[in-house]
Formats: sequence, C-alpha cells, structure tokens
Amino acid sequence: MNSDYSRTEILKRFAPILEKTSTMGWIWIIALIYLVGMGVYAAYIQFTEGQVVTGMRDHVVWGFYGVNFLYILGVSYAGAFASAILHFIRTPWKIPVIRIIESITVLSLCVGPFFIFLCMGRLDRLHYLFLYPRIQSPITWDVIAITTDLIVCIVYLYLTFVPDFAILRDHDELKLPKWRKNLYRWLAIGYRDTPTQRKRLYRATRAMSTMIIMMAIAVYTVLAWIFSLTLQPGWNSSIFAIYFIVAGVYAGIAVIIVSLYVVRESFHLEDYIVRRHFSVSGFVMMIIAVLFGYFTFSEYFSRWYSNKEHDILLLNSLFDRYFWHFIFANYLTVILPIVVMTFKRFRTIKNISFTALVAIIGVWINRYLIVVPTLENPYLPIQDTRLEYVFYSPTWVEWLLIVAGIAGFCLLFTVIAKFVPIIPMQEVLDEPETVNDTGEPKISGIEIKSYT
Amino acid sequence: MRNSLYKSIKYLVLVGLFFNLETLPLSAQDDDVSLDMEFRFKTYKNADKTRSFIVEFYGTMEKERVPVYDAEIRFFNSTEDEEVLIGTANTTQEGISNLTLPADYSYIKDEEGYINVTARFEGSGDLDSFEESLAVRDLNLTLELNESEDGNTITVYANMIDNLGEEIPIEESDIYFYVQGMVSRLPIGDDWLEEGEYIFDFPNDIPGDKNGTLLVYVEIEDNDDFGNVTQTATVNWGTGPRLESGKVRMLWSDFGPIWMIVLMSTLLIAVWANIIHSIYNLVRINQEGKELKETT
Repeated sequence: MNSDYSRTEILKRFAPILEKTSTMGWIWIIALIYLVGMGVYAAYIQFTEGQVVTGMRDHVVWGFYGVNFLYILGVSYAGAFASAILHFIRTPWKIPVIRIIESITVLSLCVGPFFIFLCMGRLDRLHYLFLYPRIQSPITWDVIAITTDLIVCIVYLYLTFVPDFAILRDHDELKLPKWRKNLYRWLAIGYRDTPTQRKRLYRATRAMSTMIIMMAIAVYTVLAWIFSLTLQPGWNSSIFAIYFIVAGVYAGIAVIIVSLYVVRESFHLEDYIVRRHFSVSGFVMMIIAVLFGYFTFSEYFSRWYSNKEHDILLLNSLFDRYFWHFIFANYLTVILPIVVMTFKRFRTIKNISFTALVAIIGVWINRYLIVVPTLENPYLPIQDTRLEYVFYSPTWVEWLLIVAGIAGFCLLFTVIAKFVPIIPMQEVLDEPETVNDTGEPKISGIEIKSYT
Repeated sequence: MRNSLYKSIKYLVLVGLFFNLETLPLSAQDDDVSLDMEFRFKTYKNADKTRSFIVEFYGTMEKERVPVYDAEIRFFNSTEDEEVLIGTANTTQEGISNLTLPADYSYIKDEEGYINVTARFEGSGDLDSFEESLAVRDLNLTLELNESEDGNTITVYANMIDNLGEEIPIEESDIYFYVQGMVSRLPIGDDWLEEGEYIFDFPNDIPGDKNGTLLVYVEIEDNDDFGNVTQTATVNWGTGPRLESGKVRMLWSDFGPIWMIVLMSTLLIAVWANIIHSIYNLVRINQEGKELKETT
C-alpha cells in the first residue's frame, strides 16, 4: 500500500467539504446564526426583565430549560459511552461514525449547561457554587462532575483530532486561508506519526476512553440523584440513576442515527456511511428501547401499586392532563423501534432515521413528564395560588431559547464538519481493511468509487 | 375476558333488580344468573360511647360478593308493644349501611334491660324485603392504666347498665387487646374476663411512633349479650424508634461526612491524574516533533 498516495486520495475526497461552502451551506449557516442570535435576544430579555417572562412560577421552577438540560446531557453521556466503547473495538465499521459521535458528545456538553444557567434566578451568584461549595449537596456534585466531564471530553476529542490536524498541516495543495493552515500547524503539536508519537497518543487516548466511560456514568448518575434524593412524588426512586442512563443512551443513539443520516445526505458520504451503520445502530436502539420500556413500566407500576396518595395524584395527572404526551413518550417511543427493526422490509435507512427522530422527541417528552407534572403536584401546595402559577406552560422566550440551543448545536457541528474531516482520515489509513490495493478506501467490505 | 363479562352481567342484574328495570337484558337471564342475598346486622359500642348499627347487604354469586348499593335501611327500636324508628341509612357502594347514634341516646329497653333493634329493607322492584333483629345490653368498658417498674398493666372493668342506670359487673366474657399499626390493628393478647375485671400485662417490646406512643384497643367481640364493645387508650409504652447515634444528618450541617470527602477527592484526583497524563503525553509528542523538525 502506498501511504502518501492514500493520504492524497483521501484528502481529495474531503477537500471540497473543507475548502468550499455551497450556497445551501451558507444559507444553512446564516439561518442557524440568525436563530442563535434570536436566542441571545430572548436571553437578554430574560436577564433584564427576570424570569417573569418565562412560564416558570412558584411551583414549576424547572420548565423547558431543566428538561433540555437533562436531555442534552443524556445525549452527551450516550455519545461518550458509545465513542469510548468503539475506541476499544478494532473494526473498520466504526471509522465513519466515530468522529460524529465524539463531536455530538462534546457539543452536547457545551450546549447543555447553558440551559441550567437559564433556570437560575440569580445568575450573578453562579460563582458562589465554586466559592462556597457544599460537599453534601448533589448540586455541588453535579457542578464538579459536569465541569470535569467537559474537560475530559474536550481533551479526548482533541487527542483523536491530532493525527488529522497533522495530515491537514502537511498537505499544501489544500486551498485554505493562511490562518487556518497556521491553526492546523499549531493544533498538530508537531505530530509526525512516528512510532513513539503514535504509541504515546494511543496510550493517552486509551486512558481517556476508560475515564470517559466512568465519567459519563458518574455525571448522569449524579444528575439522576438530584431528583431521586428528594422526597418529591415521582422523583424519589431507587432506579432513577439506571433509568436515566438507559434513557440517555436511548436518546443519544437516536441523535447519532439522525446525525449520521444528515451528514450522509449533506456531504454525500453514501459510500462511507452505509446501510449497515443504520442497521447496527437501529438494532442497538431497539434493544435500548426495550430496556427503556422496561424501566418506565417498573417505575410507574411500582408507584401505582403502592397507592401512596401523592403518587396517585401524580399518576392521575399523567393519565389526564398529560395523557397523549404519556402515550407518545412511553408507548409509541418503545413500540416503534421494535416494529421497524423486527420486520426486514421496514428496515430501510429512512425508516430507521425516522424512528430515531420519533425516539428523540419521545425521550424528550418522557423527561418533560418526569420534571413538570411532579412540580405541579408538590407535597406542600401553596395556598391561594392562581392556576396559571400552578400549571406550567412555556412562553415564547423559552421556545426561542430551546430553538436557539438546537441551532447552536447544529452550528457548532457544522463548524466542526467544515474544520476537520467528519471521517477520521488517519484511522481510515491505519485500518488495512478500509484501503484497497490501489490505496482507495473501502468501508465494511464495500469498495469506494474513485473520487476524482 | 369471560370473568369480566360475568362481572358486568352481575352488576347489570343487580342494578336492574334494584331499580326495577323492565327491560332487563334477556341474555343475562338466559345465563342462569342467580344471587344468594345476605342481610347481616350487627351493633358496635364505640370508644366514645356512641353506638353504631351496621348492616351488610350483598348478594353472592360464584363465591363472589356483589354489594347492593343505595338501598334504604330503616332501623327500629322495638319492644313487645311498640316500634320506634330511630334512623335510616342508605348502603354505600360496598353495600354497608351505618347508623351511629350519640352516647346519650335514650333507647327503649325491655324488662331485662335489653335494647331490641330491627334493621329493615322494604324491598324494591324485584329485590325482596329483608329484616334482621338483635338484642343487646348496654355495657361500659373502663380502662385503668398502671405503670410500674415490674411492668405496665391495663385493668379492664366491664359493667353492664341495668334499667335503672346502675352499673353491674358482668359475669364473664372473652376480651381482646390490640394496638393500632400503620395499616391495621396488631393483636397483642386475648383472655377470659371474670366478675367484671381483668388485668392485662402489657408487653414491653412493641414499637410505637417516634415518641413511643401507642393506641390500645380493648374489645369484646360478637358477644351474645353485649354485641361488640370497644374502648381505647393512648399509652406511652412503645419502644420508640432506634436512632443509631445522637447526631442527625442534615444537608445544612457544617461539614460533609468524612467518607464522602475522601471518596469525592479520590475520584477527582484519579480523573485529573488522567487528564495530566494525557497532557504530558501531548507535550512529549510536541517535543519529539520539534526535535524531528530540527534534525530534518
């Protein structure tokens, strides 16, 4: 195999993505920037006028923001878990998807915490969490865990980027602005792919992979404890930590599948991201969906059977005011992946991606049903409160900030995809099965067509 | 499916019988539905000396109870000569009719001091009339709580009240003791009461609430002469919760537990050691890169 030839060929394949942005690409980016800008405006309104511009009141103090925080961190956890496990598996199948997963992990961790900041009434006191931490408080554990996890994930992502930064630095034929080439040079930190450097990088990445799995479990467990260590009806549950982890993995796998579909269609990577990626991810999603259904059933069944007064009030609210939400989140979201993946004729890329989209929405609603109805049914109701203070309904400010959060995530993902190849080039070259005799890449036994 | 169908049919039949529906589903009649009706009448003298007259009215089909709902039960205090209506009460969804009369209610008694009461359902449509009578003597249970180092005791005095209102110790009766649990009552003893008095040695190992308080029930049950009589007393003889130490854990305590501080610190040190290890490797990669650049 001619290594230089392979590098050149792969670079040629990804050069158009890195060098140019199509008109549609610019429209997409400008639209995302506009939405993020609108979100900044909404945040400005909230910070200047206070939380009265949101639907959060005396009872429901965590609305859309809390739900989003919970949800996005779950996605991050799933991404971290999946990418770290894939790191230990030597298979060419993982190569086209691993960077997408790693990017989702870090970007989720960057976007998620903003939503918890939006829940805070006194954001100016945020630094008190670090100045006056209380080790007994799950909130403190959460702050420590998320901050550490973010650093671990960024270091891990950077470690996996280093070889590709070196490839981008070493190929002058790429038509990139000088500042970008200088940035690649700086980020490549003198990596020349020598055996010693390779060994060091491998050792560091492996250690971080192990750490990232443990951190992901720790972070999401602590997040679940913020709820389950309280006595609130609907939250005080011994299975909440594992339930949160399963729900997080489910949402994360779904986000990964949808992202794979979007990347495949946007960058025309049909040769790299093949049907098998969707089938395997789909089966993983189905297994997690079954687990998610099992934990959901256990959670609600034990509450219903024990027949405690406040739990029953909560369940009545779920089967009355939130009936359709409940059916969608806890029935359809579980049944659809099973149906799609069980019958071969349904197992198409589009169907699996659509199912993943339904799962994304379903798990989000599931998180909503955990947070909001419980806060609407507190142990100590506040007397003489107006109904609109008891029941939560989000305002335009909250909707806009949610959309801005999603747009921010997509924008950062687009920037990463434009800045480094979304498929790790070095790993394609390292894996013998992914390169044919002439140096052209092939994935999963499928030879890639000529890119020139 | 089959069971729920039978159940639906049963309810339809009972509702139909009660409200005299002329268009009773034929299919239900064809299914050979038959109900054995039960009309049970009891009286309870409560701890506050009020008296409850309770009727359970239900049908039985295939060993399953089907309560009669909203049936008007009329209660009469009777002697040989007269019958006085003392109250009415409709049955609940469980088929229970409960008439409770105040402690100072003046009943008509017969020569032997018995209160004769009849509960009557007049019938409705296809549902036949039912009637049940009972005769009880009024009985007072008095409890005397005795605390001593050898052990706590409850002395029970059981006196019946004659026509003149005089209290006379009863000859003998079964007597039962319970304490109130979270869901139901826990039996703690039973014995034979003689000459109107019984001394009960209270167990010293029964857990109470957080203050060790217990609610004790003393009962005479289904007695031929006195029916059901209950008396209660609150005692502070429970063992109380067992706290491991005097320290109470609070979120706002000044310091976190040592184990928690050690665990969190160990985890954080392990993670940061890994981060530093990775950064160290990156620095070494950088150094080697620089050396390679200088040599070439």
